[in-house]
Amino acid sequence: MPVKWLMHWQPHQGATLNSQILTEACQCVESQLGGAKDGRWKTALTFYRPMLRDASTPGDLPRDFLGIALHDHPGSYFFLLRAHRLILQADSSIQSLMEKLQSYKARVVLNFEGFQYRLGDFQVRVGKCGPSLSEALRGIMMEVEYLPLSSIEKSRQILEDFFDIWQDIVNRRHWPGHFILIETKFCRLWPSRPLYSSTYSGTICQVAWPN
Amino acid sequence: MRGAGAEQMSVLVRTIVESKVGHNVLRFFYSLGYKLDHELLKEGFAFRFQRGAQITVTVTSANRMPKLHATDEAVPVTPGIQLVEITAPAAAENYNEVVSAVSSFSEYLAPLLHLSKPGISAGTAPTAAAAASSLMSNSRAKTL
Repeated sequence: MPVKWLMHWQPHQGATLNSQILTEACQCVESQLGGAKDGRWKTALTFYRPMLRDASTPGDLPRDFLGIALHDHPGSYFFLLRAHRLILQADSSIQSLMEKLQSYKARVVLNFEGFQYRLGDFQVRVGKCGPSLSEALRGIMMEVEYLPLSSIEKSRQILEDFFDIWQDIVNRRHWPGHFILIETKFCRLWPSRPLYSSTYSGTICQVAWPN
Repeated sequence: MRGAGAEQMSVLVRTIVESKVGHNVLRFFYSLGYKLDHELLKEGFAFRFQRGAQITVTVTSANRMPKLHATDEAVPVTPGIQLVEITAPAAAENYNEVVSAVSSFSEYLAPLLHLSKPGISAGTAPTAAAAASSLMSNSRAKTL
């Protein structure tokens, strides 16, 4: 599985988040980087909360229970418990099972969606983040995937170079903000696994959007 | 499925949700606050075929374990007695046909064993020994 890096848009102080940045970022990927549009993508992040039936229910139930449906794993679903550093991969039918158990309920669902582009050995996704039941814009993100390699260490320099090129393009445009690279913490979580895997993808969304 | 209609049916119709999960699923559910209630080891065979519906027949023995996950130390819950289950997937649009197919196959097995809804005892088929013996002798004749 290729390595992915994530960036999210941070407006300058006083500037507001608006969809114009998203439109211009997509245009830059096409015109400045030569990306070819390659379809749409969508990832959904769900925040679960415990259904407390009575006062005797233990108070130490996890409050950081997340679920992720990743765009590139359509048949799978990932559950994350951040405090426990636990990721469970399951079939997408696990959502139905969790609904029937009624022990945890989906509180908020955030959708990450946009367009994806192919640039040689890179795949780039630019998209917005917003609540599933609203058109409100909560964030803009960019994901860069280097397809030939699965090694986090071996792909680091290549992705750093890509990030530098992208930052140059953004800086020349004088946009009211900048893209911030989300530092991945895979080595801290799985020091014995230098290769990428689908369970790491789940961590990306969690790391990128910690709240 | 509940109600008078469900009670009149000779088979149980219920919703099943299945999901493949990763190896850390138990640790995950413990972290969510679940507690292990009991553990059971089922061993046996599964047969699948098409007979009006995609039918699965399982013949299994249920075993309990003295220690958690100790499958090597499992002992049968009902020694010498096995559980036969017949299941078939159904949708809201076709469950009547599936019910008929499962009922029909259960009747076909009547000389060997009596099948019934879970929770309702059907007793032992009086012809079971003779039917089994007949089957065994037939298969020996074919081998020869």
